[in-house]
Amino acid sequence: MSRIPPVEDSQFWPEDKESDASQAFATMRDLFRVMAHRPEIARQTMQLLQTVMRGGSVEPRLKELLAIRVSQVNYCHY
Amino acid sequence: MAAHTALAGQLGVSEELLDALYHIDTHRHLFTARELVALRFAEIMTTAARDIDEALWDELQAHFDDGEIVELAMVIGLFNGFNRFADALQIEPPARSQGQGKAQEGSGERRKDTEAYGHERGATEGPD
Repeated sequence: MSRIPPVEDSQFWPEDKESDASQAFATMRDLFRVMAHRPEIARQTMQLLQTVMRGGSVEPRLKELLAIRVSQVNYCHY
Repeated sequence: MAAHTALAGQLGVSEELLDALYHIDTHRHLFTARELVALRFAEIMTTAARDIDEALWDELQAHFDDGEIVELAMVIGLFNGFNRFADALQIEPPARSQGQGKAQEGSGERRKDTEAYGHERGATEGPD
């Protein structure tokens, strides 16, 4: 269980919002709910995440592959 | 971590692609040169960011302009940050709801290592 309880009703992670970005990162919901103890940090981090993943000219699919690869390396690198 | 298996599921990134990523050295044919360079950049920046050598840098510049490299570095940096944040605070990824990938065998208690992936451990690709 998380050392810091998630803020249950934090609306930083709009459950309903159908935009692909929030959908794609729904699994990070708990992370943002913990971060929501500081709502402004959570809000701006979310904004940055969406800008980084959706902005610019590198195709989002490649960015998603990179995000996955980072976690694989972090959790399997010995 | 399993969150990213779930993430992959939601992004339509198939388990096979996840496996390919996981064992990238033997699945290079599934990726374009551009993707392979970016993935290599992600691996080195994650494990030894100071060791981005000139050869890799030249390859990066061959495929990406300066602004795009900033995008890649920010994605990699952000997700490294999230991984550390989640580890330090022991934020467990949500259990995968639909079992569309390989079912996770092993004890019910969630163990925070690669078994959470439901994959056997591949050879890790350290910097060669």
